[in-house]
Amino acid sequence: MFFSSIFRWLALLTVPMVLTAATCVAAGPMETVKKITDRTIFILADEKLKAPEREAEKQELLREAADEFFDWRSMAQTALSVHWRKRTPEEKEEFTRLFAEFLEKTYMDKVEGYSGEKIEYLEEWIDREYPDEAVVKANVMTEKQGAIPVEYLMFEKDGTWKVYDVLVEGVSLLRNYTSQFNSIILRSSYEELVDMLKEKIGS
Amino acid sequence: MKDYFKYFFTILFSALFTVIVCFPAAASEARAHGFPNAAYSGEGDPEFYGPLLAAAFAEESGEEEVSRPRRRHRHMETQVPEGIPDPLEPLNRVFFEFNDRLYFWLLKPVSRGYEKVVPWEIRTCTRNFFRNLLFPVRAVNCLLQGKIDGFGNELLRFVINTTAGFGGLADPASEINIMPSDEDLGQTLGTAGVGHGIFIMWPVLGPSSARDTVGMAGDAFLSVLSYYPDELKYKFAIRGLDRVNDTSFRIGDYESLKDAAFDPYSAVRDAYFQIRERKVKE
Repeated sequence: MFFSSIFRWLALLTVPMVLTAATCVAAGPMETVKKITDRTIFILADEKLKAPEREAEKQELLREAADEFFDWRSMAQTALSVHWRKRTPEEKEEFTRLFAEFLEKTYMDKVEGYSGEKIEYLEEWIDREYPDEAVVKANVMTEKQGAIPVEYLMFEKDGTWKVYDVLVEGVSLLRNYTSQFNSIILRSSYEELVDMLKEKIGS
Repeated sequence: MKDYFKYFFTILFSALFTVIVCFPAAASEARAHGFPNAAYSGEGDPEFYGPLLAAAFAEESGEEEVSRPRRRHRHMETQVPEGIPDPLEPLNRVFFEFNDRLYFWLLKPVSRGYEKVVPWEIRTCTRNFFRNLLFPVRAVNCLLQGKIDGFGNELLRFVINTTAGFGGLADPASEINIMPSDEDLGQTLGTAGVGHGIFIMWPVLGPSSARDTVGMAGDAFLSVLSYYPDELKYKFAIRGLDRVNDTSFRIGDYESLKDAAFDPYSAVRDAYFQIRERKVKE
């Protein structure tokens, strides 16, 4: 009798706990990465979209997924580092657009080379002090080079998780661009950097 | 007897090299001369930054752009991330260009041909063999860093792979999850608190830093390949085989890095810095 009542209380307590846990996990960073990655893979694997006349449509779908995945504005801001605040709002707008377009292009090239590699999701780490900061760790299993560790640095923006940096084998992509851009601006000028961006996108 | 003198002078030279180049005094001198890339070492201290960035710092208190309460990476938005001082940049860039050509004109075509002719299994065996030979380097540096587990694993790996792995050709130790620990003297020095010093792009050898160069020289003492074979031409032939074999697994990596980069030189420099920082921390 005693035990059964305890179980009933336990059951009553656990049900809402499990439910809240489930809803948290559903919107969590790792779930977001998984969802968008799966969607991208689905688009790439779709036989119907492989037809050349549907190439534009496929590109558009991939771009949509990428837009949902990354926060271009904060990435552009990070990439310009100290030089960001020296730019006018129009320049910031333009730079964000160009940098996003460039990253989309590079990302697309990478993604198009996808040949069925499995992705193993390892863990999700949410900052205790700042619960809107998270890191998702995964391994991309390649045939040639074994497991390649990838980390997604994310933050929460209006209820959705956005990626603001990707670390491949411990090397931060964004950080690498930051130091390149800094080097270019110091050696020549911001205008030169914009020209280089335009050239990269155009090519 | 003559050999001992040789070793003595090499060690003396390495020590002198460390004192002259590795210590921050040299780097700060470089900064005082206004080398642009010597500008970023040290965090948050305007003193550390060159005149160009100091101006940026002066403006910092003004406008606030950061729209979210991020702590860990927030500094990146207002500061250039920490990097490696590079007072030799003009010279390094020349050597970078040289290495670039060396890769595209010689190493890549040779490695590609080698990849076509030599089956994957043999290439993997060759790689395993060379890695097994370098066991003393990893083991000793594990020990120097106080990583007893790593040392034990390396010892075990060497025994298993040399016997059950047919003299290091196969890697059965990894199959039973005894993983190598990728330690070298550069990391040991880093763990002991020695900074990178300056960035050096060596011709042929590629990116390195003052500290890691000293590390490489030190590690050479522990490598069988520096003692055997005696004759220089065989030494080069073996080094060449090792390099070509290694490259055959990574054709296309450098190309994709270069393709996605705006300034390949600073991309490589930063990637080198990030990788080494990470390895020292691990």
